[in-house]
Amino acid sequence: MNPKHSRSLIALSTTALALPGIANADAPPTQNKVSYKISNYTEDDLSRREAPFGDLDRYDIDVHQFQLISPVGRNFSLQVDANYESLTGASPWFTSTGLDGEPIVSLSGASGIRDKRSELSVGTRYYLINGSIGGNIGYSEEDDYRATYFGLSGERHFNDEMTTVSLGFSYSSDDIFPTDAELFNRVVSEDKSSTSAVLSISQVINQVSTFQVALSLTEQSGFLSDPYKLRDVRPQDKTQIALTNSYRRFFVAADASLHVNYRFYHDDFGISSQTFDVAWFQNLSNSLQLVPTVRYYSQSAADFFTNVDDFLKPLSEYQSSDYRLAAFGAYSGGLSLIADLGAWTAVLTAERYVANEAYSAYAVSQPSTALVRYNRISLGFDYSF
Amino acid sequence: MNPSLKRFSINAMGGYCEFQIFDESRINAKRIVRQLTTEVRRLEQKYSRYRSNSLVTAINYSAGDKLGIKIDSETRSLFDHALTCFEQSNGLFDITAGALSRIWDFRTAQVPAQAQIDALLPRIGFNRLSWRNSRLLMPAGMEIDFGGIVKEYAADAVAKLGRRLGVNHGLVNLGGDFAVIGAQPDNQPWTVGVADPKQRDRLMAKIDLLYGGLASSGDYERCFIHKGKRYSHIVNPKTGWPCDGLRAVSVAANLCTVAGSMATIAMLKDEQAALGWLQESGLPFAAMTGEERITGEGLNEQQPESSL
Repeated sequence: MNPKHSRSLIALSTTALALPGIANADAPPTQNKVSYKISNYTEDDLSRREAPFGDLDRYDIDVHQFQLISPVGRNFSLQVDANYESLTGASPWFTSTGLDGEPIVSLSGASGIRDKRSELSVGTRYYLINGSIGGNIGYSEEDDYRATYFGLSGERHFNDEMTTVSLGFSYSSDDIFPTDAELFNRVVSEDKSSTSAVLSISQVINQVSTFQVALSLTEQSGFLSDPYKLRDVRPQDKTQIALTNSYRRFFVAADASLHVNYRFYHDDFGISSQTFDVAWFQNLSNSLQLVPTVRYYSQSAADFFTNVDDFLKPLSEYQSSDYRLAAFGAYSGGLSLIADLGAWTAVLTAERYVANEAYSAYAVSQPSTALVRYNRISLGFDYSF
Repeated sequence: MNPSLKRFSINAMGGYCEFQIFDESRINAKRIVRQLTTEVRRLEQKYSRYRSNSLVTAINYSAGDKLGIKIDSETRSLFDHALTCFEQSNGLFDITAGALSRIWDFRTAQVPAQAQIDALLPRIGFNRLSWRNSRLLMPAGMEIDFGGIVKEYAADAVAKLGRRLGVNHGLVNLGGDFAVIGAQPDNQPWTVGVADPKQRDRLMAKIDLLYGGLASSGDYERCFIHKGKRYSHIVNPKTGWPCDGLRAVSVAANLCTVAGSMATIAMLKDEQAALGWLQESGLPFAAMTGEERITGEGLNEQQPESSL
């Protein structure tokens, strides 16, 4: 258009650009949305070779997730999340050495663990010119664990919404009071806190692709050990840093979208990890979408990881046989089917995850015997009204 | 045409409306359109003059009320824009002239008596509105009509919502007012046909839109001939008589709202003043003069097709 605009045009553009639907204002959702998802997570049982004695059943978790997102007035939205988990099975209690010197694992309690977790979180968001700010508070409770948390976040668009910068901050205060503490000589009551900040920048590259980079920093302090293990002594402080990169690209001819994510993580327990995942969102018809996903994960071991608990070591020295602190690699593959049924959307997802020290990209000096393999299946529904 | 272009139509705002979307995810296209439709319906419900429970009806009902009526920020912004239209047109584009459309009824095709017109003129005048904080005080008998502003604003707002919902390529058409969500893939413009005011199924011109919007104002079906003289539905609020400048004009601008204001003001001006004013703006436009001559700037020079 002609750069030499008339005074009238400039005047009319000025007031038109200030109209709320046109101004670069973020808008709250325009519809109410209710979502429900049920997931089942089942870890493969251990083999007799890995755990010659006791229970072989590992965790089996059912998760029910409920969410409501609702517009409030013209500038606010309200979000309520409620989760309920029921868990049965057992987790590694201690590790020791078998007859041939190989590490073996013993799971907790012959009768296993039965627990449930309930969580409620409420958040609100205020939408303003060029961005939004929000906050949430939440509470989570288990038989032996309680967490209270809050978060604040802000987001701002620049450059005609081509660039978005967001900043978030969250704090969680957790109390741990293990069951049967006296019977098993466990700690009676401990606490820990976690403070986290995240900065993310996303950029629209062109009409079909976007890139996002996020940096997060988390500081944990307090009781970070596993109270259920016979011997588990970890530092009282942990600093975590993570850098996540996401690339999205839409392919017009294929009518599909590619999502690629890479994450690097490091903490001062000595663990570094890398995650690489790829998802392909293929449109099949007006109302069906198929999404295959593949993920590779690998981490290095914590400095104090041992695959055989050393009960002779003084309690002042750090050690843990938690498989999550071992060096390993993991592959997972999944498939989602998304169906749009008018006001309803249904999502069915199945995933298989296998962790193994042989898959590790990092050196494995002590392989863990307790690495997990699991299946996860979930079915979710959204209803907008 | 690319197979992933999806078209959805609804009837709203007194006309045929259409959303054209090159959807990145087909599954979301319908959901997006539902949200766009919700926004159109919201604005229609809020600003329709013809609905007894609309905000505009409530505003008009408050005329003469000493306490006035509380106005929300969105409507206040529309009044602010209407003030700019009033100022930039030297009082020709006046949303407070709603009462005139009652005596100029184009279905009955009656020319009102001058006495009827004279009785209404004192009830018109944007400068007679007063504000007490967020309350609007309107003199008795005045009627607001957001015609020429709200449908255009709705097109822009819906296009903006579409962008926010992730649509990169799309076009919104609310009864002939167009707003671009995003250019067609490969940065191709949308070619919008402008209807011929004499014959609605013919085009008088085509205009390419890469961004922004296009709005039209004109006689179209809403005029009548009485004793050999054509009476337009566009009425000069100063005289109370229909304008006899341009027959129709379509303007493309950075926003459909701006295009609509420009087009409406051009219709209210004398023909020569209108054409000069449009040319000065530097915007692409197509106009039909009183002698049915088609003129314009920045038009798509391809031969107009015979249908829309």
